Amino acid sequence: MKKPVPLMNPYLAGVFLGLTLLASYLILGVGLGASGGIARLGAYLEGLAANAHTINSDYFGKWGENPLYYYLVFMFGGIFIGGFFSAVLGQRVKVSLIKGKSASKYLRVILAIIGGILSGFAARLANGCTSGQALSGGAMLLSGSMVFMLCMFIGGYAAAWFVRRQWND
Amino acid sequence: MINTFFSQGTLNSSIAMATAAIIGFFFGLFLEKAGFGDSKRLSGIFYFRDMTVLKVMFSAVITTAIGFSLLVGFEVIPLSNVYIINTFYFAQIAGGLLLGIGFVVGGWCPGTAAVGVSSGSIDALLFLGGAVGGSILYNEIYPFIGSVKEIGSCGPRFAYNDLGMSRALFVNIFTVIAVGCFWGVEFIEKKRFNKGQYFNSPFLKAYSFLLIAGAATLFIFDAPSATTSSAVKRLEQAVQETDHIDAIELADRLISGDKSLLLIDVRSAVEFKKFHIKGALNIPLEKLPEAKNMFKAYKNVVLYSDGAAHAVQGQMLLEREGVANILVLNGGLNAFIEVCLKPVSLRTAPVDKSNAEKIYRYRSFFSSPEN
Repeated sequence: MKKPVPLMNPYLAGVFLGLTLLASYLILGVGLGASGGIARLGAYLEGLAANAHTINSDYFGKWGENPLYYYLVFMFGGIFIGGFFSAVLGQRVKVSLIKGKSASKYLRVILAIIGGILSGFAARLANGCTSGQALSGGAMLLSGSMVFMLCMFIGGYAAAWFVRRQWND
Repeated sequence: MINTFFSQGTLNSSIAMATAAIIGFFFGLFLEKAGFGDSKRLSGIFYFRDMTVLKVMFSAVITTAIGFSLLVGFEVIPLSNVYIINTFYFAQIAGGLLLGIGFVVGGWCPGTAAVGVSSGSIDALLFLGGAVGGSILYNEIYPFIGSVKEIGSCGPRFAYNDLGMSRALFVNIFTVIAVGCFWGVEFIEKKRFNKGQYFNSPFLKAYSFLLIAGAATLFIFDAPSATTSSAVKRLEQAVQETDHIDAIELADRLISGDKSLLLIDVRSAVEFKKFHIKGALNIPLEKLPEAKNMFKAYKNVVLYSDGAAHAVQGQMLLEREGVANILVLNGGLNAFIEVCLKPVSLRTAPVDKSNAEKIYRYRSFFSSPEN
């Protein structure tokens, strides 16, 4: 396998991300988002399993019969494609379970799923995730989004010690 | 002036969907180029092992904050043309803490996990599966916990207003803190791990200078002579102040024939002729003080312009003249059209039956000719 191409200078990558966010505000009139797409996928899947229940539920029900027809779903699809495009060009596509070298595979699998559940739930509670609240709301200098960003780091640092073993080399 | 899909109410059109996909493409592209397709690197920030997340995220936030503030300052885009997320402290604090925990436990956040899947990461796929489950879980217990969003809920709020400083000053302080963090983490990476390549580099110096200089430019909008700055500030205040009236309330009062209310369109006669809210009187901004005696006969006088900026100016003008019963239409004519007059078929969110009837009633009342 060829050696991966070096990553972009992180500061420049940040500036380009910022310009992408700015373009989103100028063209769409809204910021970036990822968890909204995930939640709508959840609404779609729950609708397949239990249509009447989902349509009548207080939260997903508001999204109607076709929750996938929404700009954030399309944006989420774009993230996959853009990420894949860049990973292929940078020769960084590698099917693997990312973990510390000596860490247990099961531990990593379980923590990835638990982390996902927590994040999916948290993003609905706060109406957004790292993209929609911290990045998009933070850049608009909104009080609540700034507080969200701060709490995100507090939560992360507070829990870091307990799950450190998944990265043991 | 830039009109957005949001301000035109076309965020649910297929062209908006395609645009969102293209923007998502670049979002994913730069996330991947930053190295965010790797959960080990992402979680590194929480162990001070790899600070890429901080460098990328702060750079992105500062870039957008400076760029957007400049565009608003130069009136390229009015603040009312973008969707401003509400502040609801409790759920944002709880959600932020939980999302941070989820981030360090799972090694991903929602956006980066998508890029992780694109890079072949199995843990990213598991994380996303979990996140779909977490969303469904939220939907299931929403009836019990949904009301927490009302705790500490206070509409759109800007941090600089809450701290009592100008937008320019806030962005500058934020930029200086970010640049300080950049130098700090580069120093630590160099001294502690001997791997940082940017500490004291010409790149970091030039980058720091550009950010600080860019932020400093914003001070031109703070100068008392700059007309743009006052417009921006008034608009921001209008968003937050309480002496305004919602589109729905206004529509209901107009339909009920409320005689205690006078509606004034402060735009030019040409714009008024093109379209105005039925029942409104046209008094352009500069002529408002002349009409002040007429206003005293009413309980409330509602001013509106396209957005909120001009109506707020009119309100301030009249306050100086001693007229205190002035309300500003929240979001202006744009919001009135969006909330009350936009056909149900064009709306992003589905509308339930009683609201659909209400909108139909508004449309038939406000589009019928004036007698």
